[in-house]
Amino acid sequence: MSYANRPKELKRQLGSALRTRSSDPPFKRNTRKAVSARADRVAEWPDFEERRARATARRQEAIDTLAELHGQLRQHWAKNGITVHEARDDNEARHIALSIVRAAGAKRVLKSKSMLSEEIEINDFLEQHGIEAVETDLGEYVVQLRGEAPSHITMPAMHLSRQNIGRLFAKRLGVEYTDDPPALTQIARRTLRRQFLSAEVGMIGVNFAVAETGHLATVTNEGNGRMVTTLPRVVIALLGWERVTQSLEDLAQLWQLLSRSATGQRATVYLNLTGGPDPEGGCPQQVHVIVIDNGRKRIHADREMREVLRCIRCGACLNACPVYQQVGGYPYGDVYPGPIGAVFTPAREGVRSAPDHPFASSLCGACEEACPVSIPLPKLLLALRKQRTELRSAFDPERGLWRSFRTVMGSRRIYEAATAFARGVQFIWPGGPKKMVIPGWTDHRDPPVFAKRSFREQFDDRNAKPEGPENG
Amino acid sequence: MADSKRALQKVLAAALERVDAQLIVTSAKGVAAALSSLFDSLAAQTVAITNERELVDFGAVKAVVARSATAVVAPPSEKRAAAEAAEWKQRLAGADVGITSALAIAAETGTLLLPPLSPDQRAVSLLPTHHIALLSEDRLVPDIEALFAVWKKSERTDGNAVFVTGPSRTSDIEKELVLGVHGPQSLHVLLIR
Repeated sequence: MSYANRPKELKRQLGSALRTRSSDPPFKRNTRKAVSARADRVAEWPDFEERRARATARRQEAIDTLAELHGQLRQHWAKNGITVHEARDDNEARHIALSIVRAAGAKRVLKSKSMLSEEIEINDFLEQHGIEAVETDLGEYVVQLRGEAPSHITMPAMHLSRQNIGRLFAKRLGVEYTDDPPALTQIARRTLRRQFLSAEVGMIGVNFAVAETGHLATVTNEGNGRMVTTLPRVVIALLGWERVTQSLEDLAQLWQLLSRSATGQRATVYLNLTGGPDPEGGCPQQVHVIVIDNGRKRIHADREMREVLRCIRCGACLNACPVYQQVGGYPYGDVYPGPIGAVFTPAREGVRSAPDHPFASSLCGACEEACPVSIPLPKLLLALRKQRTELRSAFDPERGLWRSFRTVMGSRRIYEAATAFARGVQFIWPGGPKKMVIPGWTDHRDPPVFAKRSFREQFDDRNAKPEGPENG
Repeated sequence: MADSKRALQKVLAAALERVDAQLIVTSAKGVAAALSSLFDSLAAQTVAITNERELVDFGAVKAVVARSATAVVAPPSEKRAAAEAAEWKQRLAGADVGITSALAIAAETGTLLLPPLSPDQRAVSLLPTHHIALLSEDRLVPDIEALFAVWKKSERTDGNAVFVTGPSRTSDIEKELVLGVHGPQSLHVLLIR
């Protein structure tokens, strides 16, 4: 479950995923269901576009005033007894979390679903230091038992069939095989119940921190987010630096947009607001927030790319993406797959670390259309492609090719001479132009063949000897 | 006024049904009887209840103590030794039904707003197999925006709060809906006239 193979593998991964996929892979069915559920929720809100525009503007304002909002948050956290930690990168975040768990004298951490915790790859790190990290979201629990990473940001096990999960539970939990989803769910409930009741440290990902009150808001459907913030003595909350919202009113809007966009619910079952440790000394006795940068400030410094920080991680762009629908999440080799990942990851780490990601898109625009905070993903993908291209050397063959193309297309005389030359060459080429091989291009298509005479030549011929009824 | 109230209740009933929760409207006098018949239909032996003032006022606490085989009454706040706290959690987890109040409910989505409570009391809406929320009908508001407005006007706006829309659910296995993953398997809202 490591993302280490990312940088240069993407093209190969996508290709092999396309070749080996079954005719009706689960992620295809599941994205289809998610797209139609979202469409229903959008259709029943007559003012959806207004709400979307408002949320977009408010998210952008929040991103533009993050320093101020973090100042407010810190005042509330100090007053409410929440301990704040700052982590510049994933490594710092992991060490901070480990020291909190050790100080609590715990051997196990119960986790509610958090993509940020995947981003900082904390589970492996804790395990290496003798601490068990238990995923409690059903889908996350399943992929953890399989030793895999989630394949979707809100539906982690969406690439698996019920039979896959039934066999997994039978093998790993020693239960009798069943592929009945309610029975499988009950098995997970019983197993995890015991662990919840004895948990000493809980870990959550924060969907939004509310600057106005200091609340840490966590959205779940299963109730595991409530379990790990209600029962353990110590709560560790992972907060992405940009996941701050101004007020409770903004939270109300974003929560509804998130619910409708992610799962097609009007509201998720639970929205849990953690204010701080229990003032009377009950559980939780300690609440720690780790504010994690890990490249977010780098994105923030880039005016154009900054818009991606509005993201509320609903996954609607994944579901809408024709590439994601065909291959699922794994070929991207990253914690955030699909269109948002293709922008967020290279923007966060620098385009060098994920050079192919901006190209894993047809720029069809379905992602931007589905985004509840109108992130212009195709525009940002293009900007990253430009960055990527500028990294290439001036002698790069592709750059040279495009430079020549510009010269040829920029002058009629050169263009006519070049096409006349090409027309001439193609008829003396051995085997004809169809035998021409351009690697990566002619694998799937024939090279274009020039007509014997150009359009202009044919046009001039026709004008020279006019035809047609009105001249007859 | 009465008409708009009835209309809102209809919206609420439909919203709760959509999220697989149940609405029961009863008079203040009918609370004990309504609880009693719910206990029957849920085959409840052990019932946990928070002793919030409202639940005492509605006579719910008395009804629970009188009616259920084992009653677990959760106090507002109590400092417990670790072993005692663990035992308390076990008792709640063993309860068939948990009963709490709610600050308000949104008609459009059927979302309950549970107030900031002591850790013991918060677990009453989480650990037992079924959850019953009791609230007076004047706590019914149109939508989630109104629910947040109620929260903003409440006493401890920086405390822990929970918004609850239906019973615990998952669609993680092939997007098939299953109720009762970690939280309650069923939710019943008792709206009191």
